Amino acid sequence: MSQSAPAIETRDLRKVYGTQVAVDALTLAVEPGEAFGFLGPNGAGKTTSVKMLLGLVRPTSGEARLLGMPIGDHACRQRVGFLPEDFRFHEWLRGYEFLDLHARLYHVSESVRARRIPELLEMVDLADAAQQALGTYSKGMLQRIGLAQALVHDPALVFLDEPTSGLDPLGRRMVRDVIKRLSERGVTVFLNSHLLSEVELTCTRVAFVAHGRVRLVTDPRSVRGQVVQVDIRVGSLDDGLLAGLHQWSGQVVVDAQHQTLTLSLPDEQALPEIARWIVGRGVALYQIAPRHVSLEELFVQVVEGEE
Amino acid sequence: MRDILIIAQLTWREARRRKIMWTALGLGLALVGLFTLSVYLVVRDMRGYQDVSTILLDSGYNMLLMTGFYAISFLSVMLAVLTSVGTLAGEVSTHTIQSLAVKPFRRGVLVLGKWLGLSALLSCYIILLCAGITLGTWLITRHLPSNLVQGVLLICLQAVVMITLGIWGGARLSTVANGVVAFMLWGLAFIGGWMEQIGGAVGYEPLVYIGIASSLLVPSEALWKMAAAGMQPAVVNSLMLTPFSQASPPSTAMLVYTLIYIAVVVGLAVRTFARRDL
Repeated sequence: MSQSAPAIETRDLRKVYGTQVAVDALTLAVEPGEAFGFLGPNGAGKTTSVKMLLGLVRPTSGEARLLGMPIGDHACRQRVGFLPEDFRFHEWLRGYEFLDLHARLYHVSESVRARRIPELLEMVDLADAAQQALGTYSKGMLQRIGLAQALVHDPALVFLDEPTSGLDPLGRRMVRDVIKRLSERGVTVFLNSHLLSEVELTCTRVAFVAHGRVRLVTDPRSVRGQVVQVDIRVGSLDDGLLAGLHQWSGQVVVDAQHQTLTLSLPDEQALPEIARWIVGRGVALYQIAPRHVSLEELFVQVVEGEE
Repeated sequence: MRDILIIAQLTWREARRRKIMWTALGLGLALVGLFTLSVYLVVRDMRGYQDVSTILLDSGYNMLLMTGFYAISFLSVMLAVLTSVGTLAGEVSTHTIQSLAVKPFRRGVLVLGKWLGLSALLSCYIILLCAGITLGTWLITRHLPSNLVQGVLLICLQAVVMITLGIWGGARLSTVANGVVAFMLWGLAFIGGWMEQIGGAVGYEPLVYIGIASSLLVPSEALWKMAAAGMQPAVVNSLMLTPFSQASPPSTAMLVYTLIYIAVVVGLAVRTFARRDL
């Protein structure tokens, strides 16, 4: 593996079940050490995408590499961790045994296991439940031990599929802290989620997915502070106006009934110029109002805009 | 290989933790006890007849013991199907398999590990049960069947055939569908075996061919026939004195065929499971 290789690299990855397209031409590049959010509504193809990257599902077409190696390569799998969305494990195993089993399957030496497993149990706050059978664990406890399992071999890349779905607020904070610590150590985290707040708080980049396609890749922090939506109300709408506005924004949403337009801009600097341009065209301008958008609004816009 | 052994050990641990092992051992002990008591009562009754020849007495003891072996053979097939049909299919449907299938080894490791673990587990159980009833009968009658070790191993192999089919089915089908298929296949071999027996006895060849065809499809019944033929006195076999008599038992070629059959079906299970979306 070369050091500069992206942690995840996919090209036109596609999965079709019968006539249903689950993932359509997924093209992504995630850099090493990134905390990358994969955000989309239920049924967007997020889990299928992750399963393809992990070799659980065979792609219909396309290519993918993890850590510079082909997916399914044993050396690659050795360095990848995974917390599945359906965190069901052998319920008759005790917590410690469960982690020990998975560590052995990752070929972790006995001495490292003896040191690492107690640390992980401590990290996910399950040290007291280490000798309890998983069958007695609550949903949250199972998800936490599943997270420990994903990290038991000290991976370079971790896939977390909806890692907080069964957790209370404290558990969610614990997962956020774990992701932060992983990022600090240079571990790449791929976070599959439909929870915007979770992604906003933990990820350095986020991809919006809908109907099996990536619609937008952006930095969630920049979205919060910088992306501006501008509502414009004019006397009359025409094609020339719409075409002209595209020079400032690729995204122009039109509400013809109310003679309004909404533009997405990176900042407010272009507003006076846009106002001058509209007026200069002889169009009556009634309103030009900027507002900062949240990640949620952007997400809704992107997803709905495609429907 | 190390990973295969870890998965195989896991099936043993599962049997222990889910109390399958202790329940089966307890009930097995009850079976052996009940069988030994029955032998004792029958033998006490038989000894009342003074004019019975030693050969006939010995054949009688043998038939009693064969009844026990037949029961164990039947039970082992049931246990083989019940334990194997859900071992992959169940973990696929609950998604438990996902965290295992991403580990740094081929998926076939999971198939081979489960196959090895279950085969070893059930074989040990069969050997214990067979040893139990043989010992009980020997203590009462001093009768030991011929080719005992070979016979018991063939009964074990019969269970392995069914485990192999159960695991192959589980690589593709749901637990229930797989169970239905496995039992029906065994039923087919069972009926075929009897057809062959009847065909052989009355000299009607088409029935014999049906039997052979069914044995090729699922060689479980043929293995029981080989075991039964070996463990009974020659005279009992040739005169067809008991329901377990085999006038023309399957040959060694059938044993070789079965070993190849198992290897091929395990290979198919590995291949099927490797291609499946999980």
